[in-house]
Amino acid sequence: MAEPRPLFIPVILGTVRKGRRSAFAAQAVLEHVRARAGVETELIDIATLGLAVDDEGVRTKTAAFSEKMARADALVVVTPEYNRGYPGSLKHALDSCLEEYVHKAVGIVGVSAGPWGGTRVIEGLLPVMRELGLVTIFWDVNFTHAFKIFDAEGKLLDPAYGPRIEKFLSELVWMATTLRHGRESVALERV
Amino acid sequence: MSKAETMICPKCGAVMNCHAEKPVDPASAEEARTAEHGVGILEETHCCPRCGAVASRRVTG
Repeated sequence: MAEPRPLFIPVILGTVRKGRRSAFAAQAVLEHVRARAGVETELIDIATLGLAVDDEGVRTKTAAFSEKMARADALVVVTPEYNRGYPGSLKHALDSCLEEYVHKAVGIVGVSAGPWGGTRVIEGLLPVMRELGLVTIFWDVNFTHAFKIFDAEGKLLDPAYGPRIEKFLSELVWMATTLRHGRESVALERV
Repeated sequence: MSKAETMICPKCGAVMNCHAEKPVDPASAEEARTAEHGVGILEETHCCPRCGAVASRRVTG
């Protein structure tokens, strides 16, 4: 029997702001994803996508991002909370694809300078994910006090995050595995 | 495309599995005019069981 294809779970860094602490959070999660057997990953920085900003939606699609989303079995979306919402640049990037996402898993990592760790931005993103066809999980990761929990090089100082990230990834991998089976093998009853 | 037609994987040639029909926005005024009023414009999404490729197309009929 052929070896199953590894899951591909990229980590999307969802802000282009200079000095973004979310980059540290994304790196911390990425290291945990990389350590998982049977999972391939990479960091996708939306600042590097080169999306057009004079149009919206799938007309801004780029081949490189589309191919990665099509290959993905699940996404980790790392989002800061700006004025209680998600960055417009993240929404712009996500909106550039659609068919690539359908019936794939997504886990959301919130980042904030305060004590809530992006809980409000995560709530705001859930209906967006649903409309994109993504399937959300119930575990999130909430990076609170983003200017205190990383050192100057981006090292995560609080060891309590490790088990939380692992719980989050365990559910995400389960969902990704299950949805891959469904996408590939369970036919929709079309009426 | 008709619902009865299977989709062939553009990457490896295997028969794909249709796993979703999603309501989507019209891509043009013409498409909006011709949309069925009951369910709107649907796009079906297919996945290749051999290589995992994704493809989609509008549903008609």
